[in-house]
Amino acid sequence: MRKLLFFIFYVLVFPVALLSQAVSINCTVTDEKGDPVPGVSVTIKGTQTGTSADQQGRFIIRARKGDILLLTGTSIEPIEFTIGEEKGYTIVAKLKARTEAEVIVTTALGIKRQQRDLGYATAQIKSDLLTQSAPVNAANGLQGKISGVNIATMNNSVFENVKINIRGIRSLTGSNDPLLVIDGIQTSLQYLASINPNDITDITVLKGSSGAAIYGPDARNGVLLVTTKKGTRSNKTEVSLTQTFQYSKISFYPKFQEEFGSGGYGTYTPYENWSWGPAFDGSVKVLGSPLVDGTEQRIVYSPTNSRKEFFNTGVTRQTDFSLNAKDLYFSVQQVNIHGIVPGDENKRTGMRLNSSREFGRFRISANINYIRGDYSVFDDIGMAGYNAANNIGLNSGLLNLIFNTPAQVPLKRYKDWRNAPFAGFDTYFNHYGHNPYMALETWRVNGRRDDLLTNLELTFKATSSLLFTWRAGNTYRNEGNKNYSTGQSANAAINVNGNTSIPGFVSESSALSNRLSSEFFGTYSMKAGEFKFSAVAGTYVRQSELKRMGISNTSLVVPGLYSVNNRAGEFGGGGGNLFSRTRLFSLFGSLSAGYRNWASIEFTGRNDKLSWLAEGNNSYFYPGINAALVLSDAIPGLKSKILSYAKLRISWSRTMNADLVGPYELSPTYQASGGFPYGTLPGYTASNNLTNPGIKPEKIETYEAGTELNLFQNKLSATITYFRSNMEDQIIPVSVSRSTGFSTTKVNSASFYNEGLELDLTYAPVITNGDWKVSISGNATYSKSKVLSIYPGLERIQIGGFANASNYAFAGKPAMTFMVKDYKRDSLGRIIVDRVTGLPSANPNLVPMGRTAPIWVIGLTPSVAWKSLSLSVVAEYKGGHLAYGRIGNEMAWTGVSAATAYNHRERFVIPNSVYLDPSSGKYVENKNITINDVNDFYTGVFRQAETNFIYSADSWRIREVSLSYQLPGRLLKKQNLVKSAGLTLNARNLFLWVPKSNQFTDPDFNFDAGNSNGVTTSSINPPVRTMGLTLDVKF
Amino acid sequence: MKKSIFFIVFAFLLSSCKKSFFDINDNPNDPADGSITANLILPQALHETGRIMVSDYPTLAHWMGWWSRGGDYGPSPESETYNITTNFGQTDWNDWYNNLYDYQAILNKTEGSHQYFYQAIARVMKVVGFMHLVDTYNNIPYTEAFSISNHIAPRYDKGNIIYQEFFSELDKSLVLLTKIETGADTKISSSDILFHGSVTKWKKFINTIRLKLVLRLSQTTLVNHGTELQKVTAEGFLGSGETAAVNPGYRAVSGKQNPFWDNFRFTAEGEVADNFNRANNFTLNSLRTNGDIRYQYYYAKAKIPLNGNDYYGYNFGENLPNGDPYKSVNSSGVAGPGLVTAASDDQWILTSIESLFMQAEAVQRGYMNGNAKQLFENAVSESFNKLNVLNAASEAASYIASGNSFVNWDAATDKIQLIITQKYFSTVGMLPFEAWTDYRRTGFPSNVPLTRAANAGPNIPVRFRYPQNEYNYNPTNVAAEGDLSPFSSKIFWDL
Repeated sequence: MRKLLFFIFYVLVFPVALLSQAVSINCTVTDEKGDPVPGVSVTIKGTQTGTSADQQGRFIIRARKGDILLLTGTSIEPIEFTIGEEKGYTIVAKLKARTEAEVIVTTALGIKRQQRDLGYATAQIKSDLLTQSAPVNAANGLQGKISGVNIATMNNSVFENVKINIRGIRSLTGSNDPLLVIDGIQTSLQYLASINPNDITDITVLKGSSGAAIYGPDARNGVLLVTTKKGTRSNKTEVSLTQTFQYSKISFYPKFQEEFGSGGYGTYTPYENWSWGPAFDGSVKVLGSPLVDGTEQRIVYSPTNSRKEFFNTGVTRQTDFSLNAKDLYFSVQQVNIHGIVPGDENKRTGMRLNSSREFGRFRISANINYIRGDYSVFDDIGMAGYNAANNIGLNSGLLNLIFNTPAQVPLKRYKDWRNAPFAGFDTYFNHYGHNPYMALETWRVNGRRDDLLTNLELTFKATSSLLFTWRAGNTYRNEGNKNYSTGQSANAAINVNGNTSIPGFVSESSALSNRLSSEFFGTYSMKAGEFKFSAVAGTYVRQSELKRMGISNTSLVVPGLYSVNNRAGEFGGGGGNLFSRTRLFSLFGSLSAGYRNWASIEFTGRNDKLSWLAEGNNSYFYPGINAALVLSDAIPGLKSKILSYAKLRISWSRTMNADLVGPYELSPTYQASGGFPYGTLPGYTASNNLTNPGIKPEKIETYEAGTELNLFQNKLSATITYFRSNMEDQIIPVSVSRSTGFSTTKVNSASFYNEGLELDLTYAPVITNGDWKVSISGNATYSKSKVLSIYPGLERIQIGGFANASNYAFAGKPAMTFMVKDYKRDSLGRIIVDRVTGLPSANPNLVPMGRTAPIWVIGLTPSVAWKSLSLSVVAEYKGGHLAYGRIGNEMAWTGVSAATAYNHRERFVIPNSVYLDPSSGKYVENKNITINDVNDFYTGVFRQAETNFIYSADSWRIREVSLSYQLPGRLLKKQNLVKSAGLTLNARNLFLWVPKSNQFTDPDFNFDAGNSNGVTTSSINPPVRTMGLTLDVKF
Repeated sequence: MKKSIFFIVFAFLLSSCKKSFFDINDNPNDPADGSITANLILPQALHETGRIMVSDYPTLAHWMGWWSRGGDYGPSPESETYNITTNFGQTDWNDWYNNLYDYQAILNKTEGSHQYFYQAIARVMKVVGFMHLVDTYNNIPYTEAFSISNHIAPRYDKGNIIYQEFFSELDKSLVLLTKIETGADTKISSSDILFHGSVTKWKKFINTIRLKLVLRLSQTTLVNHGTELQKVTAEGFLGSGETAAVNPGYRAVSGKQNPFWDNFRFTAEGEVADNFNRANNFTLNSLRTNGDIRYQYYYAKAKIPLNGNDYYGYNFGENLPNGDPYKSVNSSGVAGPGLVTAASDDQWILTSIESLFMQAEAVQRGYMNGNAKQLFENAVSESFNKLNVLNAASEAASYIASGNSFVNWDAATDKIQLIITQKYFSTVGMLPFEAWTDYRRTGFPSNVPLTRAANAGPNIPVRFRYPQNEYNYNPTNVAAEGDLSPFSSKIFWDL
């Protein structure tokens, strides 16, 4: 330590003391926009004295007044700059027209490197492309734009949650989220949805796990490096105001039948939720039970469009203010989302202050970002709890309440459920379900989220080639939810539908998560003849904490007061607390060498030690290597009119993953259950989950090889990458037979691989004809995976879904595969039916159906500009996979789905079916045995055979359309106030094309954030298209 | 904030060398295995056994003609047509294995200790649970169960082999009870929420379970029934007033109510807990036509009677016509005042009524000595007592003396039929599993009506299908059991 201090002192003081005439000059090289230009070579004209600019474009050189600095670099036009009286200068360089090869990219730790030196694939999305359709969640702005990155929206709710997978998955049951790094700080991916997309300068994606060699295990799934705006270098100050309005309407409904109304077995029942009644005939019928006074509700027995009219038009408003000044960036954003579900709302207010200052060789920057979210949404789980307790089937999901309403019911009439006739809790027609308008107001979740993301960076430039960086980050989230039910009392005096009172309850929960990290590293670079070398060495330490508290009651005394103090009886079972803390300590380093600007190689290594695994199993080393060769420079003869640039690259790395094991999992625990404690009598039951204490992290080995080509004078650029990851020792929480005493355990066992090809093509510009500019770029990813083994004696594990239709990891099949209950079939695959009833039966053994993740993901982004108008489109295709629509099963039960009106509900022969001929004992083709009861068939075995609700998940969609107009400069010339003004019409998910077998919903949706895909439930809202308008003025 | 900065600056300088930096993995939330003792497990395990026995088998009460579906509900095709699938009864399987593992945990924790009382209780309770599983599925994982590190996919054992194990387990329990050391079984009197540490009661319980097992085998020669019953100890069987019932301190608090009350009577908030299960016309009408007043104790009065029908039931599997005025509120609930009176009631797991009927049957079959008629009539009286019938003694006496063929011992040509049928009418709603088992074993009551649902199976199922979870998670072993029929693949003792 003493040595280090001395060294710092020496470096700071010595140069100044030694020279009297020549002085240290601090310079920064920027481009015309004010962004730093790194790596520029500097010499004093006529001398050997020289240096080079660092990552931030800064350099210090000793020079005298009148000296001329020569600045050269691959990306800038050469500059001669004369030193004057000042001791510091900002030198503005003119950027050369860049080719792909000369692009500077941000890599791990924020180190900027030349694209040509990298042995692995990266991609960068700049702010204008990211925000062209004004997404609320930055992740939505990435959809369809980068090869290898699959971003799926999970549900169309006011939260717009997404799932991001880069190059498939690397863990069967653990997290496959990429690492989010905001301004150098490793952050949980959840904050990507919180931060303001307009604060982002660019997002760089490190696709492979090469980033993991430096960033550690969290980067095994790729890295999203988010850089936020930093303020300008110049003294210019810019104020920007942006306002966006967006409207969302449902674009796709499940397919309904409109032939039959309520009842069962062809007979009309006024209070049924079954649509198994007689065919619509336009007659007037009584709906529901008559009121106590005998009043009957009479409706026309014809289908209405009411179910589709239930949802609102969603409205999103975004208001942005930002100030960009010297070394300072400040922004405020308010987003207000009113969802399509009546009453659902989410507000987000964010503030950011980014600031940095230089003090001689030191530079300090600090970023503070505070985001507050307030939301109020329907509490689906609260409703499901009540329904389950009251034996009401189809008990969860708003869609069940709406879509399973018989077609003749004029649903919208019941909107004013407190006052409208036949709409109230006691008078609603349906004896098996509630008025959805009432349900929406009865069960609510109100929540608030506070995010505080702060980071501090200190850099110290020891010499022109040695730089030290220290970064500290603190991310903090406090989320509080209040779930409540207003309660509804059945009033015996007027109740005609037999409803049981809904108890009022309230449940308060709060979760505080906090991550504190500190990273310190040094970078050193040097040149020796034709060689250049650089080295990085550093250390990282992190502590993560989570604290949850919850308390609830199940019975309110005073209506409308949602406090646990306002309760009858004792606290409910929902109370509890949880605390967890983990620590991680790492050492990392890299060494790279380059030769003549066309060959480079880099070695990386990292060692992690974790607190949550057993001593001896908790320290791991991750090595990596990558190399790049610019063939077109190494063999200059290769360059031609066709080929202007060619690069080959290759990379290998090994990483680990211990995420699946949480803290405190290594020893079995007991929990109080069954209402215990009773007074002073405690009672515990053994946990059903067991983790093997000898558990080790999962091993991941990744290779990639690729080429980057520029053709036809750089007009066409193409990048092709082959990638493969081999995963071993996968931690499997195997669901096991309950006869083991457990339901799940964790073992290191499974292995799988995934591999694929990525292709990016950009042709720009296609046409440049006067005012016209047309360009197109496209990307495509082909990926496949295969599970090699699960566990001795176990060939499959369930990943996520329903008991009879679920994602499985199945040895020999892709990760994941749908395993689904099907009809019993003969060896030729024909459905076996009963010789008497004509009915098939369900095979209890689940059958594999096909992959749940797409084989192909293709993005196309054409753009056209004419004068100040520009149009850009993002189209996306995903295909080759399957999805499951649970709503199909539920709609078959109630008989509202189009499928249930097959053959007008006349008895029919199951197509492609056979029966067992008792005399021959063989299966004989069934030509004339019709099913004995259509109603029983669809509500029975048709639903058990969940294969009926598996469909092709292929889709083409227009993700984004953005048409923008910038006010021409000449119109603004006469005044000084407004610098620029623009108007953008934008749309998201404008069109969705799906195959006919998809009668359900958007196949991208999924019911959870885990590793399952394509499982949709009735708690997921239908897909929407969003159209809007953005107005943007800069002062 | 100061602390945070302190942490940041020093953590990376000091941490690498300090082992304690990583030594933070002790669970601060739930007690770990090592800190849990037998007395902390037993109360929950006993409560859970009671809960399973009354909560998991309402469908059996429907099949057996005690209960039916209330007028508010549409048909439940799966159970009402008997066409049960692998998803049917999964909870029973899961709950039992989950519960039995807790008894196994007691055995594991007390192994090598002198806590013989806990060991004895855990062994006999394991027999009770596994008996339910064998009686439902025949072959089940037994020897390889609860040994996950060796057997992640446990093999199935034959039901008849497991039954023989039961008898030796009971023998071992009795031996353990003789070895009890004073003070060794910490807190046994409070944690034993069944018999509060009474060795005598436990011996009676073990004897009664032995009796039950022997009677299960009445159609088989797997054991010599008489010889097996000679192992009954001097304490004898659970007698009048000695219903085995658990009570950890049930009270009218959500999650802490008597399970039967909680499921079928009222929620802790005082709402009707159950609108689905209602009186079945078969039992209700049989009782009424026989002048058997007990129907008023098995069933609750309709909340809103129609046409003066305080007691109203339904036929099992009947699809009610449109406009049927009788809704759930107009019909009789299944938690009658004779079964439960309060959320704080004890939860029965083996009633004195059942014990007396079993004794009568064993004597009648010649498995042991005694007066079958006397035991039979005592059992009937015990039912009136247990139900708290008004003037129980005289009501019982007049019923027995009524000459009704359901209770007339002397007139009955088939005494076994009389015993089982009367047992059925004397325990309505209590333990549906026993009624189903007696029915499968003896065929009595012979006139339990089949479902009225269309397209139903040929008979009341004689077993459940193995649960879907086994097909998913233990596929090889369950597949080895073959394609079983709920209508004909009988339990080994069902001959």
